[in-house]
Amino acid sequence: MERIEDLVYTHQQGGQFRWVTVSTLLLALGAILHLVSPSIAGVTPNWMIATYCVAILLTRPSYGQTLGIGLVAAFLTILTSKSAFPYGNLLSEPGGALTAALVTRAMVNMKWKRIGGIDITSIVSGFLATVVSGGIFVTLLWQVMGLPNNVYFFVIWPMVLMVAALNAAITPILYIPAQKLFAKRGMLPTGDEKTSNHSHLTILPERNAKISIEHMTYYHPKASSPTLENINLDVHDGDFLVITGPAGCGKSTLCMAMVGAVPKFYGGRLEGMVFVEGKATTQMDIPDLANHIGVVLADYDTQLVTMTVREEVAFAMENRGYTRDVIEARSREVFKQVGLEGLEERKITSLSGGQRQRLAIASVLATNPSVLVLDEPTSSLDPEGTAELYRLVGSLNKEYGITVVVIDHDLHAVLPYANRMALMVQGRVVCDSDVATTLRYMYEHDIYVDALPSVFTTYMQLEQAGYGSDEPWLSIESAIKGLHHIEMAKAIENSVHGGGTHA
Amino acid sequence: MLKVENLRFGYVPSVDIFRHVTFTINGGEFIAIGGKNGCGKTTITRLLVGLETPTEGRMYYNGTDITDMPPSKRGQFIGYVFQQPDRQMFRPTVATEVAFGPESLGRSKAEVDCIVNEVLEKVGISHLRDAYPPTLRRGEKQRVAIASALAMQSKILILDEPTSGQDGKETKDLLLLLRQLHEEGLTILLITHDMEIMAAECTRAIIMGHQTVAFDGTPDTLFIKSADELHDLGLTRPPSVELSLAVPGLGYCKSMDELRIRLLAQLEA
Repeated sequence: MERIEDLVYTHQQGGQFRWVTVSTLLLALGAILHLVSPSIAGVTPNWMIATYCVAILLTRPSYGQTLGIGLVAAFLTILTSKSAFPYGNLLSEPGGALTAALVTRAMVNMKWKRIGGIDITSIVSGFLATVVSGGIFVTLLWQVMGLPNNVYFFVIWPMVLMVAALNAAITPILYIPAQKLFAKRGMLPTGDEKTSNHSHLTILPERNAKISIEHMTYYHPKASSPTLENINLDVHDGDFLVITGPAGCGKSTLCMAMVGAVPKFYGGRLEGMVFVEGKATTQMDIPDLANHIGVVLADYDTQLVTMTVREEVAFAMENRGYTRDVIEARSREVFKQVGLEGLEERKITSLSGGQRQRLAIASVLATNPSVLVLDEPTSSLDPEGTAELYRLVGSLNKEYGITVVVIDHDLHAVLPYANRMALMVQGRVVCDSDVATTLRYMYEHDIYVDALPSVFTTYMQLEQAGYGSDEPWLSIESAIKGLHHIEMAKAIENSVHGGGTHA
Repeated sequence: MLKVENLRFGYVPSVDIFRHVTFTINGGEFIAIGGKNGCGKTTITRLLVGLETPTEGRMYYNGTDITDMPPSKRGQFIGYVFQQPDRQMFRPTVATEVAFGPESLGRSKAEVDCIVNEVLEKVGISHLRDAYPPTLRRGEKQRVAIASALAMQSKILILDEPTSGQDGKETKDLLLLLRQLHEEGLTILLITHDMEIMAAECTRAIIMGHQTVAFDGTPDTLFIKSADELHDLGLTRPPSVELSLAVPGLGYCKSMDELRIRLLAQLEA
């Protein structure tokens, strides 16, 4: 069993095919140079070998990948070759590529790889790869064409060595600018990031909750300071949790951690753990997590993929292999839940923004997740649409028992439905309590007070002036009650006071 | 200053968005344009700047008929900030974007530089002069659009839902800027759904509804209408008005600040 504080999970996002990009670009360059290259005293440098040497030096591919690079180089050479027996390249180029890979690996830890401050790996690999590749090629030519032995030994081999010497000169000339160019664009492996594997660990949550975030710290890729710092937050069954905070406080990142996209989609380093239904998110795949948690992104349009409303809702279920009857029954159910009945045949492009958002909600509800996460759902809605959305989400929470987590900065519309509110500041959860307590905390600590509903601010100001109410003003109704309470208290005070002076 | 008479318009020839729209905008007004979704709030402002041509009716600016004047000409007195301000920016830096207007009027380089510096300073984005507009936050883009309008010495500034989807801080900062520009004499038309802003900031409300102008008057006469009437126009009372009506003797309060001050005064009395 692992201590959760000690858990570290790093994920390298993307980049696993960059070796293809870099090699392809270099081989293309090699093919062009091969066609246009001038000869020096009758000897032409072999640009193709030089470019794949550079590609191998830059991307440090595995031997399998190296063989692939060699074969592609071979095909390119065959297509452009003027030789009598071009098919020899099919053996010679992979041989040269493997030599370059061997030399690159062997020289990593060698003391003499720098001479006078210059890294000579590219020179050595350019030379040796050309000797091996050229050697294989001319040997095949000698055997296949039946060339005389003295020609092979005393004419062709010296040629090979001369080409190798030329290549030893041109490889670093190609390598140095290419290295700078690709490194600047972040296309080269840095070697310090690897993807962890947690599958062999036994990770059990400390607390029992629907979602429990425990001792969680998260660094974005290449970031030196954490985006989220020591987060401890539980989401319980049936909760309606609002997470709020100033722009850039990490609230959306936290929401992405709940659905496993942090770190498995964004990459980076996760310390501590996020548990969903008692299972560690690093031991689950994002599609598995999606069975438990549905997310509606701030830009919900990006998650709509089909042409019509009906297809959109069926899409997730089809992917999971639901039967036709189940898909139809479940579709009917979610269309009713989100109020899109009658629009099933409509093109998605003909829906309004609010309707498309409802559709996004419907499509994540289709597979029956028990938690719905909404990231800034109201940022593109007008007040009417906002109120309507929260009526819907509130009813999903109350009537269907779906646990809801909402990230939002527009608080007054969501307040009537929320039972909990967490406030984040600079990557930390600074307050996690019922709505009124968190709002009071924001006011008293002067954090993000511009987001407070004006009615609540007035309630706090009146309280400070000595006019408290029974209950916090979270809605117009409670504010009116509070105002009457204040008036009444004042009237009583006045009559007592007035009675006193009369006596 | 700007007068529209009997405007009629529809995107599809047989379906009118609105008809019989008549109003006059005077210098120094701060006007809210409100109404339900699809009532033609944005459309009416598009007619004002010349992005659409009315099917019927005329528009006058200081007595001159501008109905057939192209939008590029109208840009000299009306500035427009789109709901998505990215759609109105096309130059590589904020400074060149703002310079586009005065440059196209044929001003000298020195004059343009002077104007650009002045307006960037005024809207508080001097530090962004070399930034690439698409990388800015929406609030900053809005300021670039406002600066572009000021650079043309526009007399009227129209903003289409500038506060929707903004967080509290951005909204507050923008209102502060608009208030300052209004005090300096700019006429402002604000399309908004935000009842608190409509009540607290604006001197006049034009509400579109029932395919025409459904209400034109001060916000206080608007918000003391019955809740049903307001709902019919897609409006609600802002909390300050709602609460002020609940306390006898307090009188109409246009903002929560005013409500608090009056309430405390009443309680202390």
